[in-house]
Amino acid sequence: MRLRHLHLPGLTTYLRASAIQDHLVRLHLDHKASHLTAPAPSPVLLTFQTPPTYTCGRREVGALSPEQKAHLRADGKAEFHEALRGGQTTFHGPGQVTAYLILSLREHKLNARTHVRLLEDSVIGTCAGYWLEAHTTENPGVWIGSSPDERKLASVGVHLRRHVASHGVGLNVTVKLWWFDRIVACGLPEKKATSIEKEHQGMEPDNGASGKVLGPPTMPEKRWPVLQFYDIPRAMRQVADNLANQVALRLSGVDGGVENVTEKSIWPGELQSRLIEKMT
Amino acid sequence: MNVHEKKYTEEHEWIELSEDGKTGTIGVSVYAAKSLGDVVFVELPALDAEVTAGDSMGAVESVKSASDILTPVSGKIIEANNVLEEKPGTINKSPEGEGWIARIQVKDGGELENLMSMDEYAKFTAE
Repeated sequence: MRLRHLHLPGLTTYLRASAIQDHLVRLHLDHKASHLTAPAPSPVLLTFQTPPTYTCGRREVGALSPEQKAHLRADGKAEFHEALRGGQTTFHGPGQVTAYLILSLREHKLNARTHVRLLEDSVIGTCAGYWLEAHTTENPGVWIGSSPDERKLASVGVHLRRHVASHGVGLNVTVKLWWFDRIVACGLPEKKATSIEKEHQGMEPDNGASGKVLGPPTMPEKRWPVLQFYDIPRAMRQVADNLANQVALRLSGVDGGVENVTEKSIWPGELQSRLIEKMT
Repeated sequence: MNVHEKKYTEEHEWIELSEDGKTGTIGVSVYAAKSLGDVVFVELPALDAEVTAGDSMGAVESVKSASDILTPVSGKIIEANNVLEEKPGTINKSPEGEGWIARIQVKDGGELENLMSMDEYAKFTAE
């Protein structure tokens, strides 16, 4: 079995990404309900960037006041949506790799906790590829730096229905961090958000013989391929691909690595037109 | 001794019928509570909601993941365990006792026959 990776280039609205996710979840639930002898649907990692969007988690559904929602919409500059995932209010937007992992927990010998750990470890593994030592703390998400100056690099939130997991992580690559200053991200008022780009400030790019590399100036022997922040689509694709590889490495039952798929191959045209009708 | 045996679903919910067999108490199993980790929030079902077996009737949220609670049988929700609003951790302490989630007026007792007995469930979770 391989992990299917669907990367959506450019900006995808939250509602469109949710519709694709819902479709993939539905395939798993239908498979379970029918007890078919056919193999279960393959796990899919859906990676994308949204226009600026705030979402709240399940425990805040219906709990935000009109004023709070208006604040989050920022005079129409951002969208606001309620999500059924775990966790609290967070931000998704340009410069963040939002990654939804849709799979059957049982198929991969996972439970609610080990699934979240897999997501966190995959983010940490991805960051290691960019010379960043990320880690988990007692708080949700993936962090950089030590107490009391930890900075949050990625958020994690998962939804489970009949052991079918959906939602996943938001990994900040070049996202404008002031979007996070407008909210108490994940219920932790004293903590700041960060991005791979921000954490790379102070590291020295070098056009050496081996091509573009990046690393701490004091340790020239330990330099790393640079992320091309001036070419955002490429940088986002690169991070998304690395994340997919990290997830595939850790998924029990996945032995063939990552298979990149197109939107059409997992998302029939008939459904696409129905979705477009719904949205217009 | 209760005349009705506690039954379990593959999704790790349990249901136990009252003596008259008309109402059932629903919760999540010890196994489920352990695999979820610390519960921080419980979304309780709405009173008087009419539900069909397999419907999502609420959710149990641990630190980062929210799991739907599915009703094992069809019927009408007649009571929700409001203690869980204040003390969601009760689910970790006593998932099959004080941490019950809801009571339901059972529409068709026959639906319980499809569920697992305690022994069958123990085998199922050992797999």
